[in-house]
Amino acid sequence: MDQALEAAIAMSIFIIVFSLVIFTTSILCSSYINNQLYSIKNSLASIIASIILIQNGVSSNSWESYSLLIDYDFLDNISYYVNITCFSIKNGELLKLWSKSNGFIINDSVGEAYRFIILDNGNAIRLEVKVR
Amino acid sequence: MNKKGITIIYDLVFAFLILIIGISIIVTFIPYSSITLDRDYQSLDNILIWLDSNRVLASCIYTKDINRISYFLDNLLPNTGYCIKVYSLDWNLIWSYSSLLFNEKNTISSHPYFLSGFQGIPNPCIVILIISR
Repeated sequence: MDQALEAAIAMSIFIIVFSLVIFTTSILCSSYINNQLYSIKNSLASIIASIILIQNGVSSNSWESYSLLIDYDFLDNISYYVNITCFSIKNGELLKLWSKSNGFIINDSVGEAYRFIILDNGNAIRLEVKVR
Repeated sequence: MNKKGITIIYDLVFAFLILIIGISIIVTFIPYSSITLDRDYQSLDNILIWLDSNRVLASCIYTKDINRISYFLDNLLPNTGYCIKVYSLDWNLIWSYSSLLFNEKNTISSHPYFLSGFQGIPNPCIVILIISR
């Protein structure tokens, strides 16, 4: 009887602790996978931002005339949002000169990348890329 | 219940405790080394350079004009938590300001910037812009 009781207690402890281990591991693993997914999407957003940056450089004319049409094979089935804002400082005041975006606003983005570029005419560009 | 049974139960509890702690440590430490890189906010150090080139940064930092520096950073970094820390050259904190969205446990990028002085008076300090997710 004693042995049966011991076995039952040991088994129940085993089940409880094993469940705890599985539960903890699953939470940590899902967190890891989510972080990796964020990392991948962040990299994708970073690539898009870098492509736009390479296309325009620091030329103010290039950024002003730039149309946000990106058509690459690797962006198939990926929703992305690009927003470019041009800033200037006059008499100590921050001025937003113009802003353009590709129109697809993504509120629940998974990956994001930002760039801040100082242009040849002294103005600055904030480039924001969001990827879902 | 005899003494041997109780010992086995204690052993089991102890073994699983070690197992839980071990798995938690291993799984927690592996991923973070690969994700906390300065990836999202590259070239944001240009913000400090740009503000300084427009004579805004030094006036805000040396006069401790928090309203003005937060006005610029709120517009340049919308929906982003940030913190400005100003250190002397021997790394004593002079002052700091954190935005409402700033989360110190979730910082992803920091950019140091050196200021030599203000209005012709040498007074070197180091400004650090920290950004959180």
